[in-house]
Amino acid sequence: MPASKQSPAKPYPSFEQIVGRHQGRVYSIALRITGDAGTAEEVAQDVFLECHRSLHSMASEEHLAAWLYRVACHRATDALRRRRARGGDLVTTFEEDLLTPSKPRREDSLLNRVEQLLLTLPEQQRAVVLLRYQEDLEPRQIAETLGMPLATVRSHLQRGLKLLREKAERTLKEYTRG
Amino acid sequence: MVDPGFDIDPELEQQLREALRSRPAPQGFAERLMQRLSQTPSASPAPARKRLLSFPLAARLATAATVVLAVLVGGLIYQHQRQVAGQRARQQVLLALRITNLTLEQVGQKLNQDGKDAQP
Repeated sequence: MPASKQSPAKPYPSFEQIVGRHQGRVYSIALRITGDAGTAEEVAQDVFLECHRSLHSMASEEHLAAWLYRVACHRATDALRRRRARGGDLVTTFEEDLLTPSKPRREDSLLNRVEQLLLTLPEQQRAVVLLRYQEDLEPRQIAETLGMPLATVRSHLQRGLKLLREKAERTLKEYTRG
Repeated sequence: MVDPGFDIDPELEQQLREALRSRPAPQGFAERLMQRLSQTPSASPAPARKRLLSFPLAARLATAATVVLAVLVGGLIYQHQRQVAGQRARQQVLLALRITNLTLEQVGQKLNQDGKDAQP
């Protein structure tokens, strides 16, 4: 039996494989933007359902990954806005809780508190910082993914990091001292 | 380009990288997703062209033949109705001419009769 010829084109993954590969990242983006596990799962599932409907238009796996991150950021931001409109803003609760030195949450690790600080950033800064440090995307890639000008991405990144540093100085020092 | 007034804190960046590692999706996420997918009726409405092409060739030919036949039969019926209406109009015109001719003949005869009666 002759050896089967290798196809020059990389085989496109099945939908199940796509879910397996990207579910953690999509869920993490949704969780870190919405700050709520239930909402994050709902958002992540909606993203994959939309992905299933749009699979025929995905040119490559790189395109697919960028598409997933973009839609996850947008859907999570939409969910956050809807929740705010209903008056249930978990982020504010988080922020108030975190910025009160008299109530340090000792059970949280330092990294958890850094993660929670991210939730206190404005939406767009949060999405940019998330894609930069969770997905390790370069500013140019973030600009393409979110459909923003590169200068805007850099500005959000700088302002976001500055805000995080200020908040970290106020809260993490208390935490490490406490 | 980095803002000259802004210095990136490498320690904060490192903390962010560590803190923002991807978390695993909740247990059973993929199963719940597949369940939702199976419950979604017709995930995306197929484009009109795709829907048309999904019909078997015989069905498409039969539909096309029915449409052509309907157009032909309709045309023939219309033509026949026009012919009937034309013939009826022609007959009415001929009848009117015949009546007129008869009337003129009667008038002529009467005039001739009156002329004969008036001669001495």
